[in-house]
Amino acid sequence: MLALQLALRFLGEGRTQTSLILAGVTVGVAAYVFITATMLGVEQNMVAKTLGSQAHISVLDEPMPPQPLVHPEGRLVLRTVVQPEPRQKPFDQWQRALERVEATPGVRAACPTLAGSGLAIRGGGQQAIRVVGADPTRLRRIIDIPANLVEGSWRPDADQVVIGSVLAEELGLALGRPMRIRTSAGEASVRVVGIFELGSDAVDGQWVVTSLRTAQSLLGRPGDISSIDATVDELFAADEVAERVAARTGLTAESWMARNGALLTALSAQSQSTTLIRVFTLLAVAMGIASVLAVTVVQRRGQIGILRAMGVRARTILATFLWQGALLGIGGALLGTALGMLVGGMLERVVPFDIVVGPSTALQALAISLLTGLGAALWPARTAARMDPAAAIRGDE
Amino acid sequence: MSDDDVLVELSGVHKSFGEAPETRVEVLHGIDLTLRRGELVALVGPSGSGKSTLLNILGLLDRATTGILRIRGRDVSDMSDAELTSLRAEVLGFVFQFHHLLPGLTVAENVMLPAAAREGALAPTQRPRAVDLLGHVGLADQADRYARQLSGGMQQRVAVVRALMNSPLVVYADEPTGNLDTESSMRVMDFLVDWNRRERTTFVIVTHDPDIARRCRRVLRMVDGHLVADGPPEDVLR
Repeated sequence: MLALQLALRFLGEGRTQTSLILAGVTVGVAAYVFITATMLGVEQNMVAKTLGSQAHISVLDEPMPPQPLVHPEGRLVLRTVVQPEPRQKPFDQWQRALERVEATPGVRAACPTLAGSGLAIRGGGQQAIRVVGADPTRLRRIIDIPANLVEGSWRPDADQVVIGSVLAEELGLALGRPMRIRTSAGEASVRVVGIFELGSDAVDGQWVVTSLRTAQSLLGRPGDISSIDATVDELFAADEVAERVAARTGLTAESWMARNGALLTALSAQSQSTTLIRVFTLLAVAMGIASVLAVTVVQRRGQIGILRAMGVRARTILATFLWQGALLGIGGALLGTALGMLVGGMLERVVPFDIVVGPSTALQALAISLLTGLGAALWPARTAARMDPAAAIRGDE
Repeated sequence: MSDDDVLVELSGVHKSFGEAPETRVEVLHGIDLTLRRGELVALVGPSGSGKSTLLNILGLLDRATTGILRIRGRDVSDMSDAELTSLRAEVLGFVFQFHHLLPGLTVAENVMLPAAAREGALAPTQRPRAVDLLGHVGLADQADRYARQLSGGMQQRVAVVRALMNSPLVVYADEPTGNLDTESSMRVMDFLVDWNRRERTTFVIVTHDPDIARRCRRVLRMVDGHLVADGPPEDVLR
C-alpha cells in the first residue's frame, strides 16, 4: 500500500516528465492497437471474401479406383490399367456419411450438395454456369446467400433458381423471368426467384442455386450428391476438424485452409511482419519507461536513502518503482486503446473493411502494456531497492 | 543512571573500506561507547575523523568491520538487512544535514512517513500525531502544504519532527543545522533540547559548531577514527 501511495506521489510530483512518458506509452499502445485491429480487419476481410462462397470443409467420396480390363476370349488375359472415363461416381451412402460429419466435434453445420456444370440460355445469349443444389435451410448455414440477396427470396422450389447478380446482368435476367439450363443430362426451363451478390465475380457470374432435387433432375443424378459441405466452429482449426471428419467417415475431407494455401501464406507473412512492428513498438515504449525511471532513481537517491533509513523496506522501494512502471503501462494502455480506436475509426471510413478494436485486443493491449511497464521498471526498481541508504543520503548531499 | 538505561553499546568497533590491503582505509579504530536513555550527546571532530561513519554504524545504516554493537542489550551484528530495517523503524530516528523531504507529499504526510514505514501505509490515524509534532516547531498550520512550498529552515524543522514520529529511543542527527542560518539553527536546537528534557529521547548530534555542541550535556571528540575525548562540554570543548 505504501509503495502504491509513494508511486502515485512520485508520478504526480514530476508532472511534466510523467505526462511526456505517458504520452509516449499512449502513442506506442495506440500504434499497437491500431496495427492489431487493422491487420485483424484485413485478415477477416480476406478470409470472409474467400469463404463467402466456400465451405470450410468439403467431404468428397473417394475417387473411383482404376478398373482392370479382361480379354473376353479368356485364353489370353491382358491386365491393363487405364484411367476411368471421366464420369461421376455416385456418392456412396451419403446419408450415413452426413450423420457422421454432423457428429464430428468442431463441425457446426453440414449440407449435402450436388454441383455440376451446365449452360444457361436466354434468347440468343448463353453463359457457362455451375448448378448448385442443396437444401436451402442447410445451405444458408454453409454459405449465407440469404444475407446477400439483392432481390427476390431465398426459397427455390421445384424448377426455381436463385442466381448471381453478374449472371443476371449478363443474360438480362430479372425476377420471375424464365431461362433454360442445358447440362450433359438434358435441358430444362427454370424461373429466377432471387438474385444474390456474394462479391466474387466467379460465383456471382456462374452460380445457379436451386433445391437439391431440382439440381439432381437438371444434372441427371437422382438421389445423388457430389459433396458434403460443412462449416466449423473454429475457422483456423478447419485442418484438424477435416482430419477428424476423414477419420470418422473414411472419405476425403478437404479444408478451406488446404484449398487456399497461398492466402494462408500471405496472411502468415503479414502476421509475422505485424508482430515484428508490434515488438519494436513495445521495445520503444519499454525503453522510454525504463529511461525515465532510471533517471528518477538517480534524482531521488537522497529520498530513497532517507526512506530506507526511516525503516521503509527494500521490497517496498522495489514495489514503488514497479508500481510506477505498472501505472504508466495501465494509463498508457487505456489512453492508447482509446487513441487507437479513434484513429481506426477515422481510417475505417476510407478502407473497404472494418477496423474493430474488440475487447480481446483492448485486454491484450492492457496486459502487454502492463507487462512492458513492469519489465521496464524492473531494472531501475532493483537499482533503487539495492541502494545503500547511507551512501544514497551522502550522494545527494 | 542504571544499566537499564543503557540503549546502545559499541565495543571494539573497527570500520575499514576497501578489500585489498594496499587500498584498505581504516576509518574507525576500536570504538567503545555507551549511550543511555535521555542523553544529549554532541559528536565533534574535524572532517574525515570518522563522525559520519560512526553515526551510520550506530544508526544501523552501515555495518562494523569488526566489533560488537548492542541495542538494548541485543547484539545486532548477525541481523539481516530486513531485521535491521525493522529495528530502525522501531527505535531510531534520523535527521540529516539536508532534509530530504518528499516534495510530492504534504508536510503532514512527510512527518507521517516513519509511521507509514512501520505500519505499511500512510493512514489518517497517523495524522493527529504528525500535526501535534508540527505544532511543537510552529508549523501546524503548514501541515497541508506541500513540502516544496516551505522555506529551507521550515523544511529542516519538519525533518526534525519527522524523526520523532515513531517516538524513537535514539535520534541520530548529522549536522542538522548545517544548512541553516544562526536563528534557525538555534530554534532547531531549542526544540531538540526541550524535547530531550521532556521525553528523555536520546540525541546524538554530529556538529562542527561549538555553540551547538555546548548545548549538549555530553560531548564526544573524534580524531582520525579514534574517540579521544568523552565528557561534559566544558571539559571536551576547552
